[in-house]
Amino acid sequence: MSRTLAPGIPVRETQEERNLNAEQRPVTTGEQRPAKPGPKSRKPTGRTPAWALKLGSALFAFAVFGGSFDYASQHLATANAPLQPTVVAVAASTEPTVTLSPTLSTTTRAPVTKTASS
Amino acid sequence: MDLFLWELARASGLGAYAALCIATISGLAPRTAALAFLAQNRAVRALHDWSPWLIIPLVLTHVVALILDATARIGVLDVFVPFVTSYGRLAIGLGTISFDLLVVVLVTTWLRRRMSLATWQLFHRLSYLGFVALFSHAILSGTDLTPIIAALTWLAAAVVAYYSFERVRRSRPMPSAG
Repeated sequence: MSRTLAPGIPVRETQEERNLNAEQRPVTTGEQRPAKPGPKSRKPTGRTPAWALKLGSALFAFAVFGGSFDYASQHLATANAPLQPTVVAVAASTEPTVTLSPTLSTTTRAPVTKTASS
Repeated sequence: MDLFLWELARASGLGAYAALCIATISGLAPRTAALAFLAQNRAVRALHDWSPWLIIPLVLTHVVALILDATARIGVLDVFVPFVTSYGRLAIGLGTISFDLLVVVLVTTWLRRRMSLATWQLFHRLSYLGFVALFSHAILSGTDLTPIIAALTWLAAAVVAYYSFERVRRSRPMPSAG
């Protein structure tokens, strides 16, 4: 409903025209508007302070260290460990081997059978 | 003495694995709410920033004990260069790779203010690769992987893997509607 003096040159609406245009605009209600997203529901977070987290993690790591040391000192060699240094095998192959043989041998001398009495 | 060093290396290896699990999970937690039941993001972030002080002593103990243990036959070169050991090349080499990546991640974290955010993130994401190498090293060369310890090792790795995928999923841009 805007008047124009010349093609392409808009003219400001009068108050009367503005009111008329407002009546013709579609009426929007609150129901038609998209609802604003509310604050997301969040799970409650813990309140542990940073120093407690640090202390707890340090205690945990050193508990793992201590427990592992205790276990390692009780189990010096794990036979089914995935990695076995070849040191033992190399050492075994270079050492001289010892073979045992019977120490008793037979003789050709005749056994002593004569006994004398005075 | 060798026996003590061998026990020390085994124990510190497992301790270092536990410490690195703590560091990785606390690093993933702020974006994934992995530790939301325990603390707020600020406290979890503080734990993550502090975790190197837990990792470094345990990793150094593990490495130094193995160098000093004559039976293990690990040299100084083996600590930095992977796959050059005289035995267990893959298993020990993976440990070397995880150590190298840990050094890179720690050094770039301390030099963070001297590099761009994108560069720092690129280096910091190497920690995922480092964790995979560390886990493989633990499984392939772990002397003390009894069924209980092995189950805990796999469980910790599964938790890290789950929250890593969750982190990737949450960082993807949401598809626009319509």
